[in-house]
Amino acid sequence: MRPPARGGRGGRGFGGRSDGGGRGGRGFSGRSDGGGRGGRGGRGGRTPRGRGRGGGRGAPGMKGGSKVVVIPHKHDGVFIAKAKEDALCTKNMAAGESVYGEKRVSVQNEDGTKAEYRVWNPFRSKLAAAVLGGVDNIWIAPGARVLYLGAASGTTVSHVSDIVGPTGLVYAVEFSHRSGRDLVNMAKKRTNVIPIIEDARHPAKYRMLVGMVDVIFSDVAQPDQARILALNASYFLKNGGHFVISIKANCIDSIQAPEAVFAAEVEKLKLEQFKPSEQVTLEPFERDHACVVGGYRMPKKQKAT
Amino acid sequence: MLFVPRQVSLASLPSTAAAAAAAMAKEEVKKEKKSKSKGAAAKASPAPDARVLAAVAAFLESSGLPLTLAALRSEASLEGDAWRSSPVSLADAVSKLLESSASAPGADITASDGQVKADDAVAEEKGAGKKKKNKKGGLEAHETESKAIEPSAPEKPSEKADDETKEKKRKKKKDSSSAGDDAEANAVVKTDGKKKKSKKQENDEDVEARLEKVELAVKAKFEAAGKLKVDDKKSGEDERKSQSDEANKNVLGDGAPLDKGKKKKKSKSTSETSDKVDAGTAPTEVEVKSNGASENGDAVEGKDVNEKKSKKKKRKSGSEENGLVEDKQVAGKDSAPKSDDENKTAMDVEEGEDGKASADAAVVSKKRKLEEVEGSKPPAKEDITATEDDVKEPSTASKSNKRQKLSEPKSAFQRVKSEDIKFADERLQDNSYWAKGGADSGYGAKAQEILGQVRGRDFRHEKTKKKRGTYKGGFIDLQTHSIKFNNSDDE
Repeated sequence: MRPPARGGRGGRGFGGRSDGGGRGGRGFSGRSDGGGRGGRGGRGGRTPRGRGRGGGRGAPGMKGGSKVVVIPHKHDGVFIAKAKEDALCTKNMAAGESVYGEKRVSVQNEDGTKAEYRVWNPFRSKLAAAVLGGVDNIWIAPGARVLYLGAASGTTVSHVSDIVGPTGLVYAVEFSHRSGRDLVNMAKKRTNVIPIIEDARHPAKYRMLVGMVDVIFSDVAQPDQARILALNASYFLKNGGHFVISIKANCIDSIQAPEAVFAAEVEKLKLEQFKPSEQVTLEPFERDHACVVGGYRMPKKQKAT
Repeated sequence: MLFVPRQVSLASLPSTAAAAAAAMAKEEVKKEKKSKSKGAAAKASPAPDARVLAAVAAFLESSGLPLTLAALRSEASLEGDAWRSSPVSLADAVSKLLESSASAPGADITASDGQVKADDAVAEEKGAGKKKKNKKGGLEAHETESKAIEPSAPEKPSEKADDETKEKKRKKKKDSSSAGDDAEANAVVKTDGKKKKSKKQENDEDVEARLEKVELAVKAKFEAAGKLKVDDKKSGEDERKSQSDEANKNVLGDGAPLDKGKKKKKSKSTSETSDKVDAGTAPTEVEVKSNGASENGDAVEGKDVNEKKSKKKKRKSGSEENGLVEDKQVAGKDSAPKSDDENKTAMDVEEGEDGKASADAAVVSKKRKLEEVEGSKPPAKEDITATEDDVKEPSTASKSNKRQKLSEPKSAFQRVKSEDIKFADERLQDNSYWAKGGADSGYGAKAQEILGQVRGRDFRHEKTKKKRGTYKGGFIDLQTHSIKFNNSDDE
């Protein structure tokens, strides 16, 4: 029962991924960044690193092969890298580091400062899938404090960390030690991530670590995930806070139709003082998943207004 | 000492010896019959014989008999080897013994006392063995039997001759208690013959004694088995009585030859056989009684509680007799209860299976749910369970039926009840990608074209490829395509 742990997400095989991350990232940087440090030499992988660095001389050129323009998404902290193809990305908080082998895009702002963005793969992150699915508001914004249940290896957590930025805070709860190891390694490089290797069913165990939060993101993929979310919300979520929950229909009732499961979960959330505001399917990035966003103990004044 | 060369010659000429043995065997049988017919008249003789024999034995010991004994033993070993090779089946011998013992009349045990004292116990054993053999022969084929017993054959003539002389002498002694020198000489001759015989017999007895013991043991077992088989069906007390009666019969039957026995052989053999039979029957009786007691208990219990009986039988089956008896009883009385036991065990097993079945039922129920949801093929799995139930006993069948009844209306465990579902928005009734707004030009359209085609493992495969980061979905719009819940009702 490490339920909240990895949940339905692709925690499996991640270790390998993270291992190869560095190389892959370097290779990619060549692509987007053009001459980027890794450069073409880096892509070869075989070629001596020194030479790749030597290619670094070209790196300042920054023009690279393709022209990349990064524009902000409607959600704060989320960006769209527009090149030949669009890509969702977040501004990398730990520059030069790739968490799980994702590609990075570095661009130079008009003021000459350089910024690096990490591509956010919707197939790996349900939050990205929800964003791409057209959710109205994820409530995760720069400066927000987020309690992340079911952090798994920290892929999405790293992007949330990017979104909230240095002023925000992310409490990442994961019960599995194996994936929690990667989570901790990721958190070592991100000052705004607090990994918690505990069972999300027992928030009392980590209540001393977690302060009041603005948003709870839940990706535990457990039959009682609504209860888990409510329990954690009762501990840590401020009144008027918000929640984002990813619902995997098969984890709750594998026979019932997914739509019915989602409706039932929404009803359960309503009974727990949650106020679901919107629901979006995660198709095609996830199968039979839906993301529900809502508020918690919403003051009536706001409603009235 | 005259006998030694003679026996050697006989041993060296087996063919002639066999012929002679056959002839002598016939004579012996006749003598035995005669002696049997004499019966009670001979009873008076043994007591004086004992005295005479004691005197003779003392005389012989003083006159250096041990040497002759040693020689005779060496010969006897040879004969014993021959005896071992002789084809006499134990089963036949035992059956004959049984018949003879059953038909044997009452006998005086006391008659044998004097001779028993005078002769060695080993000699008695030998005599007993020969006697039994003679009995068999007398009952069926004397010649064949005597021939079959080749080793004893060469001895027999001497013994018979001795016996004849002995008889004569005894009669003479009886007639004239104080016999002259002749009598003494006869006595010496007699005793010589006797002792030689006895020593030969002793040697032979080593073999014969074993055989006898085996025979007695087998006989006892047969008798006990027979009694048990017969008696178990009766009440237990009858068994004990019959056993005791049979023991008496055995004693009597063994004692019967004593009546015959003016001849030492017979007397010896009778006494010895009686002793042995007693010894043999005693343990068997004990066994029989123990068995009988247990079986009596079984009988009572079996009538009362057949199940326990069958279980006990299984436990008891260690002993052969009990096994036989049990088999019969099981076959006869306990067939029905045993079946009950089987049923119970079957039920137990089924109950054990029920535990599994419950777990299985969950799986099956899930499958049923699937089937029901899909609306096709529900009956198949139910049929399987139904057949299983049919195989089971009615009680378990009822249980399973209950289970089925419980499970069927519920159809399966579901966290989400379909009847409780009400959709806040009709758009929520379709979670597919194409139902979403802006799907056609959306970022996931390409992925949906690929992933929408596959399910299960293929879906994972395709999705894993997408995870590598090579996916290009085109334009990302910033529109909101989510489905809003109407919260106006909250106010």
